[in-house]
Formats: sequence, structure tokens, C-alpha cells
Amino acid sequence: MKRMKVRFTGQQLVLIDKIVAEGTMGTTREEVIRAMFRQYVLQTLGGATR
Amino acid sequence: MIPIELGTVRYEEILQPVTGRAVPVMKGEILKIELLEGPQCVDFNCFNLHDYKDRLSVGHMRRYGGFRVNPGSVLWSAPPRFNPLMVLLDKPDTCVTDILGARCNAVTFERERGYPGLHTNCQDCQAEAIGEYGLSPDDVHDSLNFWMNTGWDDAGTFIPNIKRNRGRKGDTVTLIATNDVLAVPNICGSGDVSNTSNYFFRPIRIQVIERSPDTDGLTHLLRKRYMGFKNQRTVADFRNPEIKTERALKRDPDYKPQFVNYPLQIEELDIDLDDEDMRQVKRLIARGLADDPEDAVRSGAMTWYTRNRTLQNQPEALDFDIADIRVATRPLMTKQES
Repeated sequence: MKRMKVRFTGQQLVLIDKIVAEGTMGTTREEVIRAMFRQYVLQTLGGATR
Repeated sequence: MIPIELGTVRYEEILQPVTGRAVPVMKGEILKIELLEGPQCVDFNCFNLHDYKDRLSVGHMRRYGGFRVNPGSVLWSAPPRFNPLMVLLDKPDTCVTDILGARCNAVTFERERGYPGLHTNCQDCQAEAIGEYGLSPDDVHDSLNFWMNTGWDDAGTFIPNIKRNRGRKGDTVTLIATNDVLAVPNICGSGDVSNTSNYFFRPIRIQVIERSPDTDGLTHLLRKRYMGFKNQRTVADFRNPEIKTERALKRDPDYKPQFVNYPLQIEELDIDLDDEDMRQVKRLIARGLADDPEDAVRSGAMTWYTRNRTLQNQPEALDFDIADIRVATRPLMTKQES
């Protein structure tokens, strides 16, 4: 596991917090961002789901 | 097919070449523009009747619907108001629309065609029409062009005269006002020197049709869909609500801009990625989809948001609940006709 520092603007976090509030992709910003990233990769590069 | 029942025609005028008319169309009313003899390009400007600075922005129409306007397309005003002034309800396929060509002007004919005098043109025609409401030539804005069969090449070069006008006698464009507007159609002044109107000028008829319960219902639906956003601002929201009357620009040394959300807040988050995530990060960078690992995660997450939580910029006719509207409005007919 690698811990990566990623910068986000406050405006981006407002949108990410909406996904956090939905509760379907994680319960913290960090979990949701990772889930969004993984779904993006799946949509973009394809491959099997985890 | 359930035709919408329109009110009665309250205003009708035949516009002769090369004239125009500024005509109020109130919320819920219908404006029809009809070719009386055949192909004729019609330029169109539109103002909010209660605030002339709130006016059509074909640039923003392009932003949401592309270069052509189709049934369902919203005639947006410019930000910061961004109001739906009217909605195009119907047009025949022979009415090719254009929001690239802006409007012809006298300099065009002098510079490009060597016309020695003052040729008819839409800038001056619009200016004369809106003068009736105290507006000036500076208030003419880039037009929505009906029956203007323009083109462009792969490099994005605009080609105004590539195709002949396909308009036919009886072709009719139908718009509904979603706000009280001053609508300004004019017969394009370039008609006799270009394909825009097939090298001639022809008259058009304009009609304003009163509200009816059906058009009120449709207007309510459209306003519900396209209004009510808190960022659709009014003059009351402006930091400077004054209309500048002095033409020369002078710097205000005491002015302090208040840029939105400035300075930006930046937050650094710790994202835990496993070996498979890191492998995908490398693949994204290798494919040119990210510049570095941080960019890969941030751009990836935000691209997901764009793809999955954003209204896509498809032509608005496709983003429209078009089935309801078309069923409700085609064919359009008046009480007398029905």
C-alpha cells in the first residue's frame, strides 16, 4: 500500500463531499476519491472489476 | 398527436426586404416567422423586455447546443443572468440555422466585395429596428440566423456562402417566449450578393400569438426546467449595477476586485493506493492521460465526476424531454385552423 498526497481545491472537495454524502462509494473523502479513481480507470482502461 | 391550442394572433406584419421589426413577445406567447415567397435568411436578436442588458448570447447557445439550433433549443441570454429568453419549438428541415456567422455589416461588403457605398446589412437593419425602443447600434448583438445554410471546414474556418439557402415558401419557425422579450427579426441584408438568400431578397411574415392555457402550461414547464438557479443573477446581485454612460475607459485606482473564491483553498489529502492502483497510475501516465501520479488520481477522480454526475453538453434538443414537447406542439395550429 502506498500513501500518496493529492491536492484538491476546496471547490473540488465540495463536489466530492456530495458523493461522500451519498454514502455509496465510501464514508470519507479519501475512500470516495479512491473509489472514483478506480471506477474512472475501469471506464477508461477497462479490465476486470476488483 | 395532440396539437397545442394556441391563442389568437394579436400582431401580424409583413416585413419587406430589407427591413426588420422589434416586437414585444410576452411570456407564454408564440412568435412565428414565415417565408412568404421562398428562401430568405432571417437574422434574429432578442432582449429581455424589462432589462435590455439581458440579451441573447449565441456564444452560450453554441456552448450548449453546437452551431445549429433545433427544436428544443433554448435562446439563452448572456451570463451572469443566463436566462432562457425563448425556446425554439418548431422549424422545418429546410430552415438551416446558424449561430456562427454573427451578423453582416457594411464594412464586410466594402472590404470584401468592393461595394463602393452603403450596402444593406443586418447590423444597420437591426439598429434601425431597435431604435424604436431607444436602443443604439451598440445594442445590436450577434444574431441567431434562421435559413442560413453556412458551413465550416475541418480547420474550423467559417464559410458563409458555401451552400444555397434551402428555405421554401411557407416555411415557418415557431418560438415560445419564456420571459417577456423584445424579439427582433430582420431580413438579412446580404441577400443579393451571396448564397445566404440565393442572391435575392424576399418578404417574411411575423406573427405574435396570444397566450393560451396550453402555452402557459408549456411555459411553466420550460421555466421550471431552465430557471430558478441561484446563480442566474439579476441586477440586484451586481456589485456595480450602474450602466456606464461615459464612453472612455479610465482606471479606478481605488478599485479592489473580489474574484470568486479567491484565494483558492487547497487541501492535501492522503490517498492509500494498492499495487494495482499504482500499476494503473503508470498506465495512465504512459498513455498521456496524466502527467504524474498525483495528477492521475486527481484527474481520474474528477473525470469520473464529470462523466457520471454532470449534465453532458449534448445538443439541447437531445437533452430535452422532446417527446412531450413535439407531441404537444406538432402540428401547431390556431383555434381557427382546428
